[in-house]
Amino acid sequence: MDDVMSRDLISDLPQSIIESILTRLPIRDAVRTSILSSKWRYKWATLTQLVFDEKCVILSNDRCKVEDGLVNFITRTLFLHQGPIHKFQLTTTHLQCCPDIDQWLLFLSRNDIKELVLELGEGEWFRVPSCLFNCKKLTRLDLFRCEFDPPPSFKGFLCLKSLNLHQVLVSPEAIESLISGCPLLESLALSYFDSLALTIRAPNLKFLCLEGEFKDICLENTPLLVAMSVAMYMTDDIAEHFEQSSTCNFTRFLGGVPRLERLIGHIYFTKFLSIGDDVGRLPITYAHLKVVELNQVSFEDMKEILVVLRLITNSPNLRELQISGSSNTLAAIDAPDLDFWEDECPSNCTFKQLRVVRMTDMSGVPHEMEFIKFLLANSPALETMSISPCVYVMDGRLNMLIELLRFRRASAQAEILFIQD
Amino acid sequence: MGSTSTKIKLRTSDQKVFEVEKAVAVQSQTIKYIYENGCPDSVIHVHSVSGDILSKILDYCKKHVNSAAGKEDISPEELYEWDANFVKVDQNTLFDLILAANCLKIESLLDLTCQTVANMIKGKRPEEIRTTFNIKNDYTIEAEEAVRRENKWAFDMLGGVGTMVIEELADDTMSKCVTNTKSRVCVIAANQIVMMRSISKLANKKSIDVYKQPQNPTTPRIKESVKQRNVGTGFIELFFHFKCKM
Repeated sequence: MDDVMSRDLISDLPQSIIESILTRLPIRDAVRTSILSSKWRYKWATLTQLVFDEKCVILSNDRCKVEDGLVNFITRTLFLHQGPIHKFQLTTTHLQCCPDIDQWLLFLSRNDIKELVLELGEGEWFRVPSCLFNCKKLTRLDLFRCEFDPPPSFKGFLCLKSLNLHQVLVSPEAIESLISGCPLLESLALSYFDSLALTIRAPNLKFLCLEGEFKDICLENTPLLVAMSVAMYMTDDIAEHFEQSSTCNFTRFLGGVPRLERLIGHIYFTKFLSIGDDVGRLPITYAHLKVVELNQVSFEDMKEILVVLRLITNSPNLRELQISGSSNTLAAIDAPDLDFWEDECPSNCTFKQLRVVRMTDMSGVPHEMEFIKFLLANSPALETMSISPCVYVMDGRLNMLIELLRFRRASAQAEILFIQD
Repeated sequence: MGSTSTKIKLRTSDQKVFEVEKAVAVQSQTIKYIYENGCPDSVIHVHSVSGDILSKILDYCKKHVNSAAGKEDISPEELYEWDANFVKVDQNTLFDLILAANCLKIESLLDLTCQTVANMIKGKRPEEIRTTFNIKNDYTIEAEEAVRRENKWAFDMLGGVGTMVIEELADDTMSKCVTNTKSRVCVIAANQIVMMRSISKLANKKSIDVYKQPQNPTTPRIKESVKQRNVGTGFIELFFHFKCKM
């Protein structure tokens, strides 16, 4: 008779718990549990989440062997699998275009697939087969390095909540209509598209992440947007196109997002927003905006400074602000127009909730210092202001410090940290 | 006073009664549902959970509620450590916790405990897993063969993660491969004539296990026992296991 302490407690657990355990193992280990005992033979076969990567097969110097091994592994897993498959993830650099992938997708489309992640290798991009567009229950789609060409009859994924396209070859009209055709879409990420001009209409969208060369972006209908992160790489064509445009990008992009809580702008985003006629005082208040991070802001471009000012003066609940500069002190400019600060800053503006400010890559140009002065004078709740000088600026640091010392602080407990690398 | 000090009474399967703050108790979706849809003052029965287990679970819930509400000054790393210690219990307790977390629908606790069990399975050979969990192997030899054949594609190689097979390579190429790989395990094919010099060069590489499949077993350098496995492919592989220093 077995001692109570050495009972088998695991084999009779409910299948839902077994699944929860096996899903946390690499799939290879999960399949191997079939050998443990007769009860375990097919416990792995009803897993609804399948995650494949190169760890499934023996690593070898022979690329073909790895490819074949991986294809074999996945095909066999799917063949022996029973029941619905809700999540299928494949991440590998070893497979690119391969006819087996089409077959797997066909199989998945017949098995209620909900989450699909395909991250394939460089080389010839995989062309997404039409069966993908029949996956009616899809809630999440992540595609890396694919060609995506929906048939004309395709109306959208009605259940899709999360879409992530990275280096995907697709026409702008197709993307726009895909986004509009997914009424439940909450999270959208588009990266590394070439010169995309896009209007986004997504009434339930909460999270937006854009990275790449975008010719033009307009957020037409995104009232529920909570967080966004944008990086816009600028080529000369795009820059030229921008110079000629007069529509105000600020309102086109940030005009319809009253619920925004986090805004992160990477390279050229501030420049993008500065294009177009200045709208003056904004009619919109970002009552929920708590965290703003803007990178590569040029404090020599008055229009960019205006963008920053407009943004923060219309965000009464701003808590955290991070700005990195990209000014070039070596390019001597004409005497800075310091009256600008008197003219443009609302005199009664206080940042009542602003706690933390980080200014990085500061070159010490006059407008940067004025901006810091403005923040210090108007932030009664400030706790930390940290300033990191740009690595190229060595001589100007002492001057920066001397100026900093003089600035009045509205907050008695504000700490100013000057961070040397 | 306010709703923050509302207490909920819970009675366990062994008739112990616990009085806990509402915020702690409703970490369990089951308790939350019963509370919101029933009489607020009555005692909630948690039939399938014993007093000891519920006590531990309430500790967990309290810790997490307090840390989230900022009542306790604890960093995410410290909480992670606390969780790791929380699950350092004997198997009986661990599985009781899993079943209770499942029944009470406490997602984070279920995640934590299932992950703990998964970590006990990951990377282990079947015999080791059976020993850990007292699983009785009730396969006949033929049945076990059949399962291995059926899943040959998953059983094909020892170790799996980070295993590299080197076949028919010259010495210096082989050591180059090993230098360039993050592999921990390196298998040298049966017909490979490998000079001892190379093996020791490989062995000096940080934490690489070298497995050799020779036709003739044993050399005096072998420190660990020779393991023999029949992987159903018709021939017997002999593994020499060198553990090498970091």
